[in-house]
Formats: sequence, structure tokens, C-alpha cells
Amino acid sequence: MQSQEIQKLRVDEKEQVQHQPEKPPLHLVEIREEITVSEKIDIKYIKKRAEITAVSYLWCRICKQKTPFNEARGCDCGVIMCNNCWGEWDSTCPMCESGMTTAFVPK
Amino acid sequence: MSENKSRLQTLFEQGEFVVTGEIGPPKSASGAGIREHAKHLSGYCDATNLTDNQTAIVRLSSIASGVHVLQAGGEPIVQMTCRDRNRIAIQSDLLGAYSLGIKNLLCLSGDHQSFGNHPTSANVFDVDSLQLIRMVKRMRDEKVFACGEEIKKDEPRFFIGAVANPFADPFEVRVYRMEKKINAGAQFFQTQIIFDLERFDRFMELARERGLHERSYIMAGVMPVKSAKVAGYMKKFVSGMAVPDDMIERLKKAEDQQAEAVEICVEQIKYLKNVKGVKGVHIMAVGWEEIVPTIVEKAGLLPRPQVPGLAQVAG
Amino acid sequence: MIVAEQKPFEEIAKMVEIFDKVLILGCNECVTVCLSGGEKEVGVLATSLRLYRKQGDRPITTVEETLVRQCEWEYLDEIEKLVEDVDCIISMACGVGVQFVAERFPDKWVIPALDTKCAGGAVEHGLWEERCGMCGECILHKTGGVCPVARCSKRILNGPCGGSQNGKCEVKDVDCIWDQIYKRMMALGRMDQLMEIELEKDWSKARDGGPRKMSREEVMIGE
Repeated sequence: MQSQEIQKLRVDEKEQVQHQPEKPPLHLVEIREEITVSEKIDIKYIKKRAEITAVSYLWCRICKQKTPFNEARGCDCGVIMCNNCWGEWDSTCPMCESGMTTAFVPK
Repeated sequence: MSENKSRLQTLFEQGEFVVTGEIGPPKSASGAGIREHAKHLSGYCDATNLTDNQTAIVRLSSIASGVHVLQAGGEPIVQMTCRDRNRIAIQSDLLGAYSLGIKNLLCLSGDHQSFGNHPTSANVFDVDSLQLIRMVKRMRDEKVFACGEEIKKDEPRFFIGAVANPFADPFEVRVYRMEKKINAGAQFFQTQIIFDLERFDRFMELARERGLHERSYIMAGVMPVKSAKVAGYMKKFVSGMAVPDDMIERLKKAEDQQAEAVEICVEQIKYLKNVKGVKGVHIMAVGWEEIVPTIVEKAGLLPRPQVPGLAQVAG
Repeated sequence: MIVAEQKPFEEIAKMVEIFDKVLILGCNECVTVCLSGGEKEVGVLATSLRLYRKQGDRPITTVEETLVRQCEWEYLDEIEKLVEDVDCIISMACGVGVQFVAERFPDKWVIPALDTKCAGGAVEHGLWEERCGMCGECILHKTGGVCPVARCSKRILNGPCGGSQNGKCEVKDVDCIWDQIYKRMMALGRMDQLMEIELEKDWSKARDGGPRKMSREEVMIGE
């Protein structure tokens, strides 16, 4: 992040304090948007990370993405898929064509 | 020490074309399914692999599964990976396995845990598959543990197997690695599932050039692919697997895809049987185990040979 | 260098929620180079924390400082005065720096703002990759200067495994390092060396043997 942006953030901060000296009605959404402007603190990214660290995840064999535990399913033959890919695969196991009934329960 | 030899080794030494199958242990604490499976394959396969937490999914242990196969009168090939155990645990398990009557061991690196059901677990890989092979050989032939300490009596005497993947890259390196495994002590090989016969031919050519077919028993891996959809999945999403487009097309066009799948698999086996240096076939019917007897029969591999003096029931 | 990545902001905010005056301490070494804990990042974190806390009606005072190194006592001595005055220290250094800070200021609560990732370097702008596994016994002379301990997903010493395809590792979106090792050894005419079985590694020299030390008696200052 450029130092001008840091400056900008600091200026914004001061302005907010100056404009509402009594009781600053600071809105969460507005401020988050402020922060999102920078490269470094991307709220979307933070959210994604926070989810992954909070619950266990699995890797989907199809899209190769980390999937929260409770949004994935497994098959007796060993295939693990996210619900999305499973849906796209006609709700069957791509390996043995069973219904893939094993569910994962979050901790 | 022929009484120590496994049925599998004896068959190879008799010059038989060996047929092996594979059982994936259940995600439960019951061996009933394994025993049933073993009985089902009896008379069709000379031995059966028991996978070791395949694709890094927790299952009944391969050694315990091997004992269930023994109880059902079969011949187990226990798989041992380097992913979950350090050298202490591996050697300990090997002593245990041999004490329970298991004589065939297949040594692998093991699938990485990322794609299994415990992706947050530690991966061990204290030794790799080559070092594992060497360790098992030294336990048997030099009667020492990996650290060099003498095994005073009753050393495990495994028939040592390894895997080779002719379809992974870099191509030439696959043959070198196979040779390295033989140098380390591998006596038999089971290859990755073969669909691309041409590439396998080239692989065997290189292997023969280096005399590897005379230094080990090479078993060609095959798999009946239930449908064009499954074939498409394997082509796209299972790495280290070469699935030719014409095979997918053939399945797609077939009226009865399953019958066609059997037909393709049988043709492959018949072809592979004639490849110089191939001493057997390993059938991996993932998710379709019940079809194995049909394939073995149609491929003209019946009746299975008997080994004098050993249990007459195959597994 | 040591590569570290900043923790999610919400996690850091949560760790300091009970404190009202914090020292945010940057480090001018590795974490400055990998853009995660230098002077700029200290400024951003301080500003973000103040904004965040103001909206929650519990303002926080931040003190910003960045040291030459956090992993050396003499630089930590410089901030003794600053530390006295704060409730806690947020260290934006690697795990080494955090611990030096905690050890130097035993009565202060210390919070790590980064996740220390690996020993690596920038391969391009904005992309850092692991290079050294710190196994304690270098084998790079055997593998053409490419490290399988750090860069093979299974740290295989006699690779490549069956999951190598088109030069890629099946586990992650990374190169199969054994593919690279072979290519390099072939180019250097050293293939025969790879045909030798690399024996079991002595992991006792790695972290497996317990915490490690390195000493040089000749530079120690006696009593």
C-alpha cells in the first residue's frame, strides 16, 4: 500500500472525528468500504480466511477448492466433492456412480 | 525355505500368469465385508491387495484387513504407505503383520493427505517408498532393523512389491525409478491402471532394454470403467492417469455401457498378457468389485492354478 | 529470508479487544521485504485498528515503532520506555521476533500479528515461495541445487512419485520439484547420481530432534 493511502486513511479518520465531535454515528458498512479501498485489507479475503480457520475443510476433487466441512460429501469409494460439483455431476459419484451419501458434520 | 514363500511368489516362480484383485477396506470396524469379498474373489484371483487408507481416507487398517482375508482362506497383499507412520511404526507394523501370517507386502509412498478426509493432519514421510523397500529387504535378508540393530530371531520375510506408474511424468524417469526400486529390493510390481496401451508398450520396451522384466515380476494394472462418464472423470480429475479419447467414445456409443466396459477390459487383459515381460494382471475394480469374476472368466484366465501344499482357496 | 503473512485483521482485532493502548512493533528485516510487517504495514494496522475500535465505541491508542531487527536484544533495548506505557505489544515480526520481544519484556502481553510461513524468497513481484526446509543437513549438492525436502509435497528423497504430471504436483498448484531435479541433473550430465538410492534421512538434525542450537565458542564473551 502506498504511503499516500495511509495518509488518506489518517485524514479520513481525523475528518470523521472533526465532523462529528459529539457522538460519532460511525456506520460499520461505510468504514469497511473505506478499508476495502486499500490493497492490503480486503474484507472479502479476510472473511474467506476466517471461515477456513473456524471450521474444518475438505478439498473437492473436481474444482480443487477448499470447501467447508459441512458443504462437502463423500463416497464409500473415496471420492470427496463439494455440494456444487456434486450437483453438476447429476448427484452421483463420478467414480462408482453411487449416490454419495456420506455427509460430514462440523465439529 | 520354500515353506516361507508366499503363494503369490510361488505362482510367479512356477511361471504362471498371475491375477490379483483389490479390496478397499471399509470405513467401519467390521471385517465381514472384507471376508465376503475375499470369498467372492476366491477361485478368480490368486491374491488380493488391501489398500492402506487409500486416498488418505481413514479405513480399517490394511494389516487387519489382510488377516480377514486370511481367515476367509485368501492370499493377502498388504499395502504399506509412508504417509502415516515413521520408521518405528512401519517396522513395528511389519513385525505384527508377518506374525499374523501376512507374507506379501506392497510398498508405496501413499497419497498425500490433502485430498482425504483429514486434510489438516501432519504428513509423516519419514522414509519414502524406496527407502521403505530397502528397509523391508534388509529386515529379511540382513536380519537388521533400519538402525542396523540385529533382529535376533524370527525376522519378517516378506515378498516385496512396489508400484510403477508408466503414465506419470517425466516418462523416461519412470523406468529409472522402477530400476531403482528393484535395486532397493522390489521383487514384483503392480503398475498404475493402464488404458493407453501404446504408452505402456513404450514403457515396457524401455524396461526390457534395461532387463527389468527379468529382475522382477511385472503385473499390469487394469480397471473396468463402468461408463463414459466415469472415464471422463478419470481423464480430467485423476492425475497420473492417461485415458484415451477413443475409449471414452467407444463407451459413449455402446448400447450397454457396462457390457462394453467389461469387453474393453477383457481386450486390454488379452493384449497385456502378450506383452513381453508382463507376468500378471492386477484388476482394480474401484466401486465395481462384483464384476471381477466375469472379467477373469471372459479373459480366459480360468481355472486359476493351484499351489501344491498350500491352501487351495484363493482370495 | 523468512516469509510471513499478516493474520486476518479480525483475528488481530479480537486478540487486542481488551486492551486500550498498544504498541505496534514492526521489524525492518525479512517481514519488511515481504511486505507484511514493516513500517508501512505498522501504519496501516494502527490506522485500521483505531478506526475499527472507534466504531465499536471503545477507542484504542496506538504507538507505532519499527526496529532494525526484533531478534536481537540491543534493538529491543531501544523501546524500553515505549513499552512501559502500553497494555500490550503487537509484534509484526516473524515468530522469532515475537518471542524475543516476549522474553525481553516478561511483564508485557505480546501478540503476534503475522503467521510465519517459510524460508523462501520472492520469485516475482508479490509472490514468495518456500525454498529451504531447514532440515539441518543440506543435500542440495545431490539434487542439482533444488531442494526436495522443502519443495516436494511428500518430501520424497528418491522421487518423483506417481503424482507428477506435466511437471506439476498433484497435491498443490506447484511445480513437481522432482521433475525439475531430473531435468537439471540430466542437463548437467549427472543422471547416474540420481540412480543411487538416497538413504533414510537423519531427521534428528531437523526439528524432529528437538529445538536446535548453534554456537561459536570463539565469539562468546566469557564471564
